[in-house]
Amino acid sequence: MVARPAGAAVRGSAVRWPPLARRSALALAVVAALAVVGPLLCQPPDAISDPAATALLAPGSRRLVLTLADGTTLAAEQAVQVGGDWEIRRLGKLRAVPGGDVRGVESRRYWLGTDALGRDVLARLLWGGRVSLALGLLALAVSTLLGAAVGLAASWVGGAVDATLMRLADAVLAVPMLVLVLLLTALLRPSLGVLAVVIGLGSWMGVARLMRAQVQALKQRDFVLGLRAIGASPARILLRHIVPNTLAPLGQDAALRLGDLILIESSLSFLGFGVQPPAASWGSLLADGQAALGSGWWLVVFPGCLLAATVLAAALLAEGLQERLRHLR
Amino acid sequence: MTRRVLGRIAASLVVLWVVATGTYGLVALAPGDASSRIADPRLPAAARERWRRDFGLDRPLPARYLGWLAATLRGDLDVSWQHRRPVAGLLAEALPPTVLLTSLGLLVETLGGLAIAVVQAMRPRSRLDRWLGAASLLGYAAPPFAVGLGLVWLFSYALGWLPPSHMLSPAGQGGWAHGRDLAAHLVLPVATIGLTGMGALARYTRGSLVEERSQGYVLAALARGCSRRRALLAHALPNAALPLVTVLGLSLPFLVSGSLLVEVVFAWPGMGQLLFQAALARDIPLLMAGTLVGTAAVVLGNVLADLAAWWLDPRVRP
Repeated sequence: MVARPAGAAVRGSAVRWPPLARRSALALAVVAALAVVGPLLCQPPDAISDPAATALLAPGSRRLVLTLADGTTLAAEQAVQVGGDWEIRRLGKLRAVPGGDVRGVESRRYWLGTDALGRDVLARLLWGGRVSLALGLLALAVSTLLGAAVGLAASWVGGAVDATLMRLADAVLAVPMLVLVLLLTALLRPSLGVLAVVIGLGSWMGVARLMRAQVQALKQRDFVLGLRAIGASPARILLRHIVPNTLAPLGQDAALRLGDLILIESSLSFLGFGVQPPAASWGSLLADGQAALGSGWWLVVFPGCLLAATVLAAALLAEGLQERLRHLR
Repeated sequence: MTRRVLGRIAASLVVLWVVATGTYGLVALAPGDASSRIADPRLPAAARERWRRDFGLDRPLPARYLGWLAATLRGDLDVSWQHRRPVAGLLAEALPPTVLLTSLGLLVETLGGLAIAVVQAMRPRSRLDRWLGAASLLGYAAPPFAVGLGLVWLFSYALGWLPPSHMLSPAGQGGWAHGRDLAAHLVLPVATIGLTGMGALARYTRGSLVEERSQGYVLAALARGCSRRRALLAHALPNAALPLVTVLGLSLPFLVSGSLLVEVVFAWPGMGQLLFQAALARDIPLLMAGTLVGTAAVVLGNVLADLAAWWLDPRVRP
């Protein structure tokens, strides 16, 4: 049984979620589900058929893909079977393909267009979403755990440890995040896992401050005094009674930071320091889009909107959580 | 008061020292030293040793650290590996374009954010209020580089009105034409910084404006026959905008990070571009100096914001 501060509502209260927060939670769930399931439903984006004839197709384009006997593929705008042979229109030119060479014909629709290498943008978005969300969540876990540990240590030990840790947090907070992460990536040239740790190392300070303030406020409460009086050990008070009471504000803060961390990861990938090709995240898709900006708006618009929508949904969800917590108090 | 101001400045100097030491420590502890990063890997061992001695890398870490700290305090920021030039000179060249871009961006951000908040607070909970609220959330959530790319696509490629990148046209111009050219190149990057920054500011100001509206002094102004607009603009806004000074000070790190991205998108020849290129080339001295300068800018901004808040509002004076 966890001791709760007086006035805290019990679970299952009647306070409703704000509708906007519900909708954003739903939107986040959809994006997450797409990132998990989506890649299973579409071909990997690197499976390119005939790059010359499928590069930079507008959204909604359709191509017929002929698989030839030697394993190569030909993409065609049109294909008609004349007798036993195929007559195809490829890059605006008519061309005959002997029927014996053709192993299969498949019609493919590029709902969100293709990039300069003929890769399907929809497939890349889904695969990239996996990377963006996974890295964001991983960085979130790193920064939350690190920050909570620092905040807990500072507030519980107090004294010089507290002062040192908090000055350290102040100092890291004063370094512009992106500059710090650029320095770290130049020193380490990180892999995906290290990248999440690097982002986490640059963003634990807010959590530490929040955790410290929470623990210090809770330490003054009567239920802690009561626990002391009945002889509970400090470790027990801290881990069983104080930490559970900090989880709600910590969770709300985490929801608020999820969007920021996804943004930072995509910024790094946009700059070319994050995910390395052929792997992609939404940020590196935008970098590709910048390179082909004059020829295809869809390369920027779709990843940009998806990224913004995800960050927005995370922010709205955090706001809803905040409102709900305020009502519960 | 003077003691508090001096104390505040001393605390920020401590922050700077901690950051400088931490940066040096990170670089010193990272695998491999400068000899493995910039010297030719085919160098024979003896030559490598001499090379390390010439660069002072054979001295113990504390001695190197103290030497580096003393040099940094003198303004000697080492030599860039990439450009083979003193880092201080490179930074001094890149600083003016960045200051120009970010200060204009900050101005647009502040004015835009205030204007949106005032329009929203005139009729809270109206349809316009809700739409503007949603728009400012979108501005907060949109990544600066995506917004920048969108603007470039619209105004440079689709409409052809404005140049997509760089600070000046390649053909040199003098006098008025030069100024017009610079202004045309400034519009899109400044708009990007402004648009992505004003959302958070508008949300914050709208909240405090709506709160101030219900205060007694606004009611008193209305009772005195003051128009609603005047009560909001002349009475509530100054009080609501006071905490904004602190908020702006705290948002400086994001401004530095955001303008780095904007500079990369628009090929703007400033600090962000310099640091981006330095990170690509793994130019550690330049990156270290950039970290220090960026931090110093943030710390200075925070001190100024605190001093301005104390000066403007007697209630928060220590």
